[in-house]
Amino acid sequence: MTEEINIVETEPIQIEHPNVVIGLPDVGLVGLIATMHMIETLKMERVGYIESKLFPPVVVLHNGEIQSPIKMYAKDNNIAIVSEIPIPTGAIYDLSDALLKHVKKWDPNVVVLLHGIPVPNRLNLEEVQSYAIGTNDKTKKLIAESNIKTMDTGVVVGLKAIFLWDSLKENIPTIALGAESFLEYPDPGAASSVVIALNKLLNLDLDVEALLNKAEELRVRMRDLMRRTQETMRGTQPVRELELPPMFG
Amino acid sequence: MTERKRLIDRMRDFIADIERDVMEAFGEIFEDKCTWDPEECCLEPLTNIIETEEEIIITADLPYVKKENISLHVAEGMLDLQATLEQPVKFAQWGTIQRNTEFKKFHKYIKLPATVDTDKINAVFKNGFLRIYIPKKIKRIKIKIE
Repeated sequence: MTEEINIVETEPIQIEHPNVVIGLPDVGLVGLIATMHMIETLKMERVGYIESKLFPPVVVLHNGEIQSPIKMYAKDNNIAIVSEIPIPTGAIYDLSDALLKHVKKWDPNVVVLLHGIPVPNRLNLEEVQSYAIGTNDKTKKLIAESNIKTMDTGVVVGLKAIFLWDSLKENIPTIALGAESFLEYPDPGAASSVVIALNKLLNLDLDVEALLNKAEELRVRMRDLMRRTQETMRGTQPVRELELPPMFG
Repeated sequence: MTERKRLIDRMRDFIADIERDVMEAFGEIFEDKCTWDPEECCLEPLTNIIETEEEIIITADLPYVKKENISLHVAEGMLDLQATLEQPVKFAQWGTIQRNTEFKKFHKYIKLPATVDTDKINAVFKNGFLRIYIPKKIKRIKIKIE
């Protein structure tokens, strides 16, 4: 069913072993905010888009230009994939499958899925913690060398769950990198924690202070997307990430 | 035939009742409405309501707001939340009517899901988030077990 998802490179991507960062709207919009910050800071260029009849019939306008809401950007050895719309539950498997097949062709150095981890006491946390999950020895080593805590026991839901599972089977070096976040509010604070960890993982120098300085603007700007994302997330039940898996390792 | 038609009509009414109940129950969730009002120059804040046995806890995300600029009123089972923004928000290239609007406040009416004790409402404002603790008016009756 992957043929229902069309990944188009408008500028052919010819980066050897790129770092691929994916930020889709989910818990606290953490992945999206962090990936957008990376795209803006590195002045990445738009190089493609993803379209599908499984997505809502939406285009976005930026400076008078009609764009797909799901876009790909590239600069140096980095590729970023970002979505301005929540991914409908019914499209998650197909999108994950299509992304994995496409990313595999790039023979990536590492794929990093950015996301939020819902925590009920977020309002009381002055500093939030980032956690990573790696799919193979290479990514686990990279996580350890970057001094990022690992998520050892828990439940993962949504597109990242499918992508992680298929990456494991296909031996694609994938890391899910998340930070403790509000579930239902845009969380630039959590996104900044993810950016700090991403800097270590990919040896980047993204300005965290700049992201925190526009936190209030982001919280106002992203109210509508957060509301829609929350409606969409009901299908994937993100609060299951707070649950303990019943079996022992 | 008449009996069969009557039965089908009753089933239709029954299904219509269920549809109405479901729409009422989920109406708020699926309600598709704007979160901004250019005439009032206000934005609707993101809110979350948690209902426990004892109280209703409402949280609202209020960026660009200071504590002294928040006003809260409760009447007739509705909470009226208003907060003036420290600086007006304007997105110059956004949409049509929005691009000329300076949004100056947050405003939202929240329907309270239970009868509440208005004298004991408490609110805390921290890091741009308002949390309102609203105790329920609960009349407890002890049931004798024989």
